[in-house]
Amino acid sequence: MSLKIRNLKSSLFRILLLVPAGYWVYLIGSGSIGVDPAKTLNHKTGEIALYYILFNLLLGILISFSFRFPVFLRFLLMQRRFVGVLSFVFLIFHIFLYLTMEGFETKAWTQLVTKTYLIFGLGAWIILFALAVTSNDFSVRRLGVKRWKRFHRLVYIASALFTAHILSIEKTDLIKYGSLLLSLWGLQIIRVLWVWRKKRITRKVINAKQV
Amino acid sequence: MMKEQITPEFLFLHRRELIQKGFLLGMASVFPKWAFGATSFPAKKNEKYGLPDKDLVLTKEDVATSYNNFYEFSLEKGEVKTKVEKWNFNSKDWKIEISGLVEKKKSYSVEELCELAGGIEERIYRFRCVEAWSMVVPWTGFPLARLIEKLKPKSSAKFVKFQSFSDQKIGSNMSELPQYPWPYTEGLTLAEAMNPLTLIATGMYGKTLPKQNGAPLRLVTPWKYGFKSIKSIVKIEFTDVQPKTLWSSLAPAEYGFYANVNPQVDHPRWSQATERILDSSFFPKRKPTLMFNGYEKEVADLYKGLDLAKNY
Ligand code: HEM
Repeated sequence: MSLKIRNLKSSLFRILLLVPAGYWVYLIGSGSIGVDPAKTLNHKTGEIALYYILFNLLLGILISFSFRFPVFLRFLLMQRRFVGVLSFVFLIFHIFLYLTMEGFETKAWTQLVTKTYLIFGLGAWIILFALAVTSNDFSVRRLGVKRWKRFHRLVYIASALFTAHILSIEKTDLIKYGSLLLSLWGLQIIRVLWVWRKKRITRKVINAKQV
Repeated sequence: MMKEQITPEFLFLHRRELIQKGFLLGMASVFPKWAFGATSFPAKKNEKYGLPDKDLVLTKEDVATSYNNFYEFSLEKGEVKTKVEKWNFNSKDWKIEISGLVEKKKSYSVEELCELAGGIEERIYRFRCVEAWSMVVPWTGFPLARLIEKLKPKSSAKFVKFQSFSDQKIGSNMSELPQYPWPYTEGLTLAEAMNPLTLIATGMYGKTLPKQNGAPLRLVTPWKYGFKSIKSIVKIEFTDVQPKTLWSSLAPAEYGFYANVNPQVDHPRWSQATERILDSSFFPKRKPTLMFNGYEKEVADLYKGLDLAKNY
């Protein structure tokens, strides 16, 4: 029975994650997407993709702090791969809409490797691509859990790159993105210090036992 | 002498005024309406500034009035139109302060400025945003030069500085952007301001300016990126130093004082070589961006000897 409830909750959660995309489709269908649809949706896909990645990173942080998830939220721990892959799907659209916005002209492609903020974006995108295609049981089995986990730590490099990508856009909502990303990195630093301390304490305990 | 032949007292007292009125009436029948500064809408079309290119089409009115860079209200261009609804705006109460190195220092109403400049007319201009999109817009307004001649700047005046409202009660988003040096300011050299292309617009599409497009009056400099065309002006100041502008203060590497449309000089984050002509579709028509946005003949002389890659 509890398995059924968990499945139901997971399905509802996944549907919830698709609400923004549904809303964009509605906006397009009803003709209220605005005057510059490609640009508008490029921004929206980037924004939602970021939120989903941040959600995953936040779960990772909470796990490190040995946070005891209330029982009714434990199903979330099983959703990280889905969230990550969905976020990457949005980022496929994010790039595609960028190319649309630039009319698929030559400059659209050359800018990708000449404009600093796009180099950051592309770097992050390539890493997230690798993570997305390995977010399945098959890859976990092939790599082995330990190596798979280590490989997926590349997400921190991707995070550094998309932080640079987003914050170098002057004409964006610096308060919104700045505070989100600053909180992310603040938490990551606290987490690293916390994990170090824990390791030192366990080592001390082990040493004491050996004496 | 019969009593009636004596000029009645009331006529005598008002003779001067009557003569003046009669003169004006006489003139009015001789000269066309614009000679007295027609300020009503729709204004006469200035045929010299019709559609700038036969391949271009006029941007639809609802497109031009629902996609506005007006950060005082929102960062979202599509949202400004709804955000301005709360702005309790009355054109009659709007005052524009003329100050600095100029003889006619005074606060004027919009109507007074239009009359002083000799009335308004309609012109179709290309509009190129620094974000690489463009529109084609019929503005109504008067050439700034005609106003400046009447205001009589002093010989020491070299620049004109424009300032938008600084009232946070109007610009509901201003407090969300504390890193911005509000109010919005822009500037032109006096020569640029005197160029016949430079327009002060009080309307578009044959009607008064909608709030989201910069009511009640704004600047339009079609050979420069759109951000130079400051909206909702409250102050025009004549100075002898190059004025600080909001965008060049905030991001000097991205936005310069001149901001002339130039396909050869990239924005640090994107190329300016081409533009998309907005029409609400996913794949709008595109075209190569023209030097000075196609107004090279009219303005190139202003920048002789200036390195436009450095003075962007
Ligand atoms: C090759 C890869 C990428 C390209 C070409 C790209 C392109 C762009 C462009 C053109 C913008 C708008 C910039 C502007 O308005 O000036 C943008 C904004 C943004 N991008 Fe990317 N991007 C890429 C990768 C990423 C990645 C990996 C993320 C990760 C989450 C991301 C998140 C965002 C966000 C959050 C914004 C701001 C949206 C807003 O203004 O609300 N992008 N990107």
